[in-house]
Amino acid sequence: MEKGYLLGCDIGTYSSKGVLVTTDGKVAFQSSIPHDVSIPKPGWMEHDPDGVWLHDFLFITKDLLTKSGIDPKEILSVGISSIGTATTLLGEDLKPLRPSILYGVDTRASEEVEEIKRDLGTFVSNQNIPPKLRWVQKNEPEVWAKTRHIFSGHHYVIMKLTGEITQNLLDTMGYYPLYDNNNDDWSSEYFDYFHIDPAILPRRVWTTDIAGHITKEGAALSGLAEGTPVIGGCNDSSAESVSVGVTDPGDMMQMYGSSNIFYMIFDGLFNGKHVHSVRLMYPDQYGTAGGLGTVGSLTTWFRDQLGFQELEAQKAGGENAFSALAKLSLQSNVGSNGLVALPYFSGERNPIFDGYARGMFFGLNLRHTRADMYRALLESVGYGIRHNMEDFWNDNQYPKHIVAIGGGVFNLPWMQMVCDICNFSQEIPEVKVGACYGDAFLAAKGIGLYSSGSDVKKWVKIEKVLTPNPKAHEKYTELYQIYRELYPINKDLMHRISAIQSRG
Amino acid sequence: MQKGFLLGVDIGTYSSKGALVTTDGKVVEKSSIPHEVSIPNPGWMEHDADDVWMHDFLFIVKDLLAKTGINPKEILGIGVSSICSAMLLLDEDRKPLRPSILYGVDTRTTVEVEEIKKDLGTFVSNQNIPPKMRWVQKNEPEVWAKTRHIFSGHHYIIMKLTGEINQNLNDIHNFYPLYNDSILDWDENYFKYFNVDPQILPKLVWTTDVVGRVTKEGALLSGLAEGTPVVGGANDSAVEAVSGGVSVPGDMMMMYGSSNIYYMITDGPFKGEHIKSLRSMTKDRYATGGGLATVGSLTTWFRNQLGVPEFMAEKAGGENAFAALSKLAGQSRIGSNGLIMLPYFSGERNPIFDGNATGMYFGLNLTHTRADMYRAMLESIGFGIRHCLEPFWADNLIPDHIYAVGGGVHNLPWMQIVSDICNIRQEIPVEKIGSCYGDAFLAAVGIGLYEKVADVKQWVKIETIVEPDPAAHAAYQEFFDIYRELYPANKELMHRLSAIQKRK
Repeated sequence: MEKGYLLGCDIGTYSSKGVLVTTDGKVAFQSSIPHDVSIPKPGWMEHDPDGVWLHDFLFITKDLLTKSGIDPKEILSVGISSIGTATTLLGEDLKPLRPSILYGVDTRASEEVEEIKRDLGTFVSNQNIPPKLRWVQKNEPEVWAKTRHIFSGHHYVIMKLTGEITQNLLDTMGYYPLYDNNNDDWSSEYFDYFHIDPAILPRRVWTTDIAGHITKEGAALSGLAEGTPVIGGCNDSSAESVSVGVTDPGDMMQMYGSSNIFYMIFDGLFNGKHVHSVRLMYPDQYGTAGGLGTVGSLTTWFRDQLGFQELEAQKAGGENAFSALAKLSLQSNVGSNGLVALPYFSGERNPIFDGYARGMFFGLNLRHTRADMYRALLESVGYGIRHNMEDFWNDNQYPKHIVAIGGGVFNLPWMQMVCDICNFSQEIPEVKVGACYGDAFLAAKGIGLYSSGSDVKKWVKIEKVLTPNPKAHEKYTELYQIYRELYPINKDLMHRISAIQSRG
Repeated sequence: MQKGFLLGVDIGTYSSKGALVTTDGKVVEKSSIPHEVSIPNPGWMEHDADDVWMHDFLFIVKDLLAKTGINPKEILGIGVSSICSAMLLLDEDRKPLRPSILYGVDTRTTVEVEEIKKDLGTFVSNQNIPPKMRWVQKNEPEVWAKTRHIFSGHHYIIMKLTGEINQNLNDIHNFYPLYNDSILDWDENYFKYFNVDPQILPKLVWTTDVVGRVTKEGALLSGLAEGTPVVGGANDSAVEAVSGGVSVPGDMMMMYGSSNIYYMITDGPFKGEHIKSLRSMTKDRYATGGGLATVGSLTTWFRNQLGVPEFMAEKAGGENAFAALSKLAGQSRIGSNGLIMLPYFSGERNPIFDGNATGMYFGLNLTHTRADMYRAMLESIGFGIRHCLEPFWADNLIPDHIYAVGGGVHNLPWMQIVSDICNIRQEIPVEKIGSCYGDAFLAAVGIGLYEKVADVKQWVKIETIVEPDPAAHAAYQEFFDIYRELYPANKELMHRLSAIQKRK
């Protein structure tokens, strides 16, 4: 195997991470940096492309070069990923016209989603880019009038490095119905409806295509070597699935990041009653993805609002607050002493697709403790995942392997709760650095070091397998039934309260 | 006005309080002592008549005499009150045969309640004494066989002081159906059903009757002067109302203690569609009451579970945690940024009478803070009180004055929240020590210093008037509407979850 390094960098919702990986898959150096999400209003979530994305990429690159002391020329290839479908609009001068509107966690376009569904008779959600374009057209027409380029997320960093404006062909599915995944082309019949001048649409590249090479300016900006190839990359969850070896039919990833992503590879095109596969990273790879809106953002919310003592202890040099909270959850028990939470703190994506849904703590009594409340939040994520898995099970689609990844896997009691609630096993890989590790592999494939996407399995080792406890599963099931009934009963009231909240 | 002092003592569920008051209503000294409730089985709640009631009374008397250095002869009269309908059974030596079985918080007689309802076709609850008698007859027949005297609560102290065994006619309603208010006497029709030998029933006295004088033995025991008159007294909430100046038709007390009690005096017996008043305190005085089950117990829960920063600061010598939490609530705003809580953390009394109702936080999103959560809790009490007041308004029974008393009145922003939600003016008296102040006044009436209970207005001065803000009231309306719909929508699920909680 050729000597040298691959640089992988992923820009997430609350932090960015990067790695230098050897060509045979060893993580040589890591770097990460946290950042904020702006929430100008409930349900809105934004990133500044310069202040967050580019800033983080440059920080990580410099940090890795400093830590490793390597010659930038030893970096054979660069792979970048980012949060999916973060709508980014540039003006004529290639500068962002407004902060990027994040993926489905930003539910501001719920009204537009309904309009599009009604007008075009097709399914879209807050995860899609076209409702957000429509939101900008309606609410910020001056921004739309100046828009000359649109794309998602990390392509901004690629542009700054290579001068190329691209859009990878995996994340084009976020443009549905403006993009036709089956024919792999823009759907010009919708240009009128969405007021699209095709000139603003980006050039398409496959994930492992070389999108460009680092220019002189890009090198000066980043410290990377001029001429280094940069691949098209993809969204973070796809890169994450690569990082854990989810590449072949029957492989499923459950990612526990700030949100949850499930990602399953199918044997070709599948059109079930509940789940449908689409073409993914390679022309012959099919799968489906979805997820819960709030996972790590829930635990972060709890830590920041109700985890004072853990946060103070951490600041004083003690245990990490999340690991202290994980222990706290063990002071409660299966079912949180009869407390049920709904995790819809930012609306919900799968399976209810309701931006106006809201969170609840249900069943509170005077004996409940903070431990019960935290555990109820953790369990609510398990219930949400089970709710999604039922769609797969009802379509008779059973994953062969479920690999768990993301920051949540460091909380083993939580992972066990999910296994017990869903009655499935989860495998936890050794390398947990996440999407950037997948980016490094994709960068390696991009320059021909590997020929098949499945070759990443040569990199990935499983550290631990968690199996479900049937007794706990049974106990959880009656609480899960209550969980399932809470949303339909309270849906209308949730919509009313969320309308009041949006009024500000 | 004659020189000298009145002694008032109240025995509550978790603590006892006493005061020495001048004949014109000035509190010269206070004393209090906490005590425990025994819970030998889930749903059972007991006090030992000697170890709790007598012990506390003697402690308080000694403490007050020591602190003031007055001659016991300067005490002109004594009033004692206690938790109501705490059933006590004595043997022929006037010794308690078992610990006292407390009021409605002790739910051991649920089976007997149903039997009585079925057999007699009349409404009783765990608050009533006859079901408790029936429970003893069935479960502790040897105790019943030895029973020679029966009465409630503080009459044990009166007996120890004066040698007289009696029962005040205010708390007599708890003997229903064994007592018949229309004839102002025991109802012999029910003696057989309840296996009652009329010999064991106590002498009936009015609240302000001097029922006896401290005997030589009583003086020796207590340090009080032989011959000091003692009045019949009443239960703590009726006396609390007196202490707040609630004394003429149209007066209402709104007590914010560990629970909420409201108590309104009506012009004669009132029989509306929703509200009925009963004889109370004196022969010609009628009142109606009820309350929310959890008020201070909610804020205490919040402080203990989620108020660690404030609680730690208080323990380090800083501000009282409740005062700090009250400021925290001020960081939120009307409607708690669209967060609604149901306060049914211990089931609920009025107006839903549902022991299996549970609490909930509704409408949570990621922008909510701990301040919103605390304020939502304070607002839930306002919503609950409004829910209780609606039947009064529907019956066109509008209080002229609402006097707010209890520990909650120290939290003025909270009182403002309640006034705004309910659109009611609340008057807060200067003297906030509570029931024992009312006991002292009843003693003053008993010995003829005042003619009638209504004269307490000469003692009670108003410190603060909380006026409702019409704009705030209007702003709360939409939140109250959702509050009202949440319980009916979720009732069935609450019952299911509460059954699961009780199984553990």
